Amino acid sequence: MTLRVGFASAVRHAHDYLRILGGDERVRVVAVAEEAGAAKWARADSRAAAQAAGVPFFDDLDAVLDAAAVDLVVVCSEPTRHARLALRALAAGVEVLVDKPVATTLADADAVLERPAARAATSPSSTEVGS
Amino acid sequence: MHNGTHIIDAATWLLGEPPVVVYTRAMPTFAPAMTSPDSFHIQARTASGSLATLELRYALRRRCDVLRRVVLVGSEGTLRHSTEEEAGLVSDAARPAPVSVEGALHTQLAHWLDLVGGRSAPVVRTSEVRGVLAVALAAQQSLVRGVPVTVDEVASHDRPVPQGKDAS
Repeated sequence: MTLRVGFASAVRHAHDYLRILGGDERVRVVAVAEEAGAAKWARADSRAAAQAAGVPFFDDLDAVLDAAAVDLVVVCSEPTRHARLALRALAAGVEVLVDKPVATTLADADAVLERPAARAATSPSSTEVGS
Repeated sequence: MHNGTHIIDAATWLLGEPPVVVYTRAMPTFAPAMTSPDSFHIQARTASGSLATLELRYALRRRCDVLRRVVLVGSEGTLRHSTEEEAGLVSDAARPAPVSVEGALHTQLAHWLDLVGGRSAPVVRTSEVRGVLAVALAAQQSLVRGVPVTVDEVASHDRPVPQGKDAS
């Protein structure tokens, strides 16, 4: 089974995530999406990451929050948006990998980790949360 | 917060327990004119009394250089590792990551795919994720306040740790 992976924002480490996941035969990277209200530099970086990876870019997060089209979402924004984007993806019914740190406050981290399906994967620096 | 979590991860793993009190100081090293410091020292103590000095620094000779040094002094000996001493052919034209680091993210993401596919159990617990974040937040508060900060002082630290799939 091929896992359909989307990116909710693609700044900082996103190039590495896209390169590695894009090269894994178990994965198909379907799109990068960025919040329309994100900072100008974040929108530009996300668009550039999508272009470099050769995947579609959408200026609307809903494009990767469709459980019928995406199995997993990588949240790779600046840390202050991590928890909010993760919760939004979880509410849409897709699994989530959050780049580190999972949040910038313990309250926000708890809001993500309190999801019944929450589980850490790989490293304390990135957190995988089931839908 | 973003990059500092790595050394807190490493210290927690090497010491076998997380820090409970931290003291942080910062300094500019790469770009002295920057308003934000780019290098940090954290003094950390665990509940059993183990001490650690953690350093995060951006003052490297060349862009994208990686330098990691670890000295672990234990009751039965001392462990020392430095990426400077690793074998490898490096030039300005070909500068792969040090052997001890190369492929780490690939391994991490492969594990994530295994986990999502139900082929693997998580190697890190949600409580550990939360614990590292709490220490990082305490370190940040110490930097702002200029005093040692206990992890207990971090807002919401006294809440029960959320249980996850891994906490059965």
